[in-house]
Amino acid sequence: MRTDASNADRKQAVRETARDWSRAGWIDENAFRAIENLYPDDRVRSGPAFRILFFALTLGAIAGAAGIASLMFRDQLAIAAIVLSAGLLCAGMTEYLTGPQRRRQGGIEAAFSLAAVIGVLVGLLLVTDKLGLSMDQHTLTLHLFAFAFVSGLAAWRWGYWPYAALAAYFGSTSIFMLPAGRLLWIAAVLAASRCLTMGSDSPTLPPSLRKSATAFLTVCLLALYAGVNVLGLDQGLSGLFFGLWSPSAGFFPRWMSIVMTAMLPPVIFAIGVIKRRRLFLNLGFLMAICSFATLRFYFHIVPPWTVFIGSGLLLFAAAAGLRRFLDSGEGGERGGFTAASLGEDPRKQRGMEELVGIATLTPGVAEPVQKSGMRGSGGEFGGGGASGDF
Amino acid sequence: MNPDAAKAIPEFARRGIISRERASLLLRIACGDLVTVHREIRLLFYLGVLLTTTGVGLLVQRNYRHIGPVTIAVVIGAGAVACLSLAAKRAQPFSWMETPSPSLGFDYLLLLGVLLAGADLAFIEIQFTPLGAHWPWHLLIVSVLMACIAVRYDSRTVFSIALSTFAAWRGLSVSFIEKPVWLASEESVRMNSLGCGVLFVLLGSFLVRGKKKPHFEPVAVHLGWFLILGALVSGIGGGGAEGIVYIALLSTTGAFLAWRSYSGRRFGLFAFGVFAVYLAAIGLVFKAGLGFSGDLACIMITSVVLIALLWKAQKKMKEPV
Repeated sequence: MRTDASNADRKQAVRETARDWSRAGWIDENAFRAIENLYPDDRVRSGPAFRILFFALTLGAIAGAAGIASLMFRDQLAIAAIVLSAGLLCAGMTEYLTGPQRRRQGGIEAAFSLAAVIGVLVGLLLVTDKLGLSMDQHTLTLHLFAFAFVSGLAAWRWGYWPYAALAAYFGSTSIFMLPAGRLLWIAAVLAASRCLTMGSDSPTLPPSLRKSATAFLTVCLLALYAGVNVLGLDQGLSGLFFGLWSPSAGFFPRWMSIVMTAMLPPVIFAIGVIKRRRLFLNLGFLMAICSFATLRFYFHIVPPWTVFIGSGLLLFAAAAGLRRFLDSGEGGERGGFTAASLGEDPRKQRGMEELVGIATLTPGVAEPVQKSGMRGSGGEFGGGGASGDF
Repeated sequence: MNPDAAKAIPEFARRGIISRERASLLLRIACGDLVTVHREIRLLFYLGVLLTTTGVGLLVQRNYRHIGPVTIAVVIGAGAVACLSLAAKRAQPFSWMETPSPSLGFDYLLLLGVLLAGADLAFIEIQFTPLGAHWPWHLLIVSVLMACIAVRYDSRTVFSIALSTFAAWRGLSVSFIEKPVWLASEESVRMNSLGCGVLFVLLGSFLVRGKKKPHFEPVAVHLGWFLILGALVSGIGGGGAEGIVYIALLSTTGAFLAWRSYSGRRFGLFAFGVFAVYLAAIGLVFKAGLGFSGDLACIMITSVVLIALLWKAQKKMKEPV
């Protein structure tokens, strides 16, 4: 990242933290203003609604322009050159907007950066195709490495974490495609995770790059679990994570897969508890759910409804118990953990819950078939859950 | 961890912006020595509700013959009553204004009770058909009951589900019961969607003006406009004059919404309105039949013009980052 952008990013992180403190009532309005004056913003930013609009409309304009330019030529190499040039032009625009124009969180420069990454990736694919290289495993692996490099470069230069996640995804898939790819990947994640964990907290990196390191680490750990899960190995379900490029089993004993399916979630969760890292706590929990689902796939001990109701009530009890446990500690904390919100904005999660609630929790539709002779087959609008299941 | 804040806090304390006691707490948070799991606990509660209601759905669907419908209805009903009575016991006194939740799990306990009650009523309707040919009315009953509970216990989540259940009731009634009244099926669903949307927007306005749970207004208004614009967007694909009429309606409604939200600084609704106008413009471009390159050129020009207009609007609206 450019030095000026990096400094602006650090100041923005302090202002955002001060806003959280203000929301929590820890500082008053005057203190908040004083912090804003101490850490002024020299970037041109937009609010979330305008950001989304600018992003979508800029992408629409770029797609239109690129489409018109490529329609002028029939030769595939010329089209590939146009797409690559468009990608490089967009990269230049991103540099201009984030540099001299001092734009950040504005939507337009993010759209240009996305167009740049897509342009370069598609251009590379078109050139390969035109050169007549067959899309065998080696070419595909090379492409994936190249994609990972381009995405990683975009994340490093512009500080957008989604590109870091994309780079991790392409990187993991390409390593999985190598001979003994799973073992290589396990070794790579073990070697890199410490660096990435340190990077996600490092004071030498600006907040955007710390977020990128966190995103990279998250995808690496998810890819690790997807690659070693025994159900994925047996049923080829790893392809669900790795898209079209389902990695071959290679040299990877099944017993090791079983052990890792069972052990990885508690290990990750334990790291989260010991190091007080929410990312590891959440990933450990998510992996534990997947491991229990895997276990349920092989051992049908109880019917599904018992599993759902039992686990639902268990989670409810666990949440209530955890809250009480933490609240009962001295100062409402235990081992460095607390159930208090500590200034986090609860509106974001509440809004998400309302959306998910509308989509999934609208009551089902009764189907009184026998007596009235009518059948309900779901609402036409409004009721996402109106599926006629009852 | 937040190393930048950790570096800044001692300076804030030195300048007297924050007290030394407060600074030590904030420093612990910034250094990662004190970590909140508030969001994780809420997520656990929410997952608990989702999994339990899914399990109840499976139980009803697959096992009611083995266990018996009366037993199932009684057991689910008892579960709902238990959850709701526990929530009632812990609830704050009623107020038309926003009341703080008595505990972290309260909202989820209430949600679980409401969903179990809804599932129970649906099960009773299918098994014992008390409403006969008017079976979709049970959704209206559930919706009204949910709305009452949402108002009494101040739950926006339950309120949003009450509104979506109401919309589901209209959709089902039109599709199955009121076919003779509404001649064309697709059009009638669209009209009902529009009607529901307008009703929700008016309800939102009433909530604010009457100072009756004004913090519920965003839920009603956003869902209302979503239904209105969704209904109009679904019509622009129609052929001939019908499609043109819907395009005109969509652009007019979108422009009206954007203008109203512009003056009221409602950023989310403003984005809804602008998107609607953009979709209407794209719909018109495709209807005009200019050829592929013509379509692309028009989309590009429309996007650039809208960006320019938004640029001006942004300066006046000043949306917080």
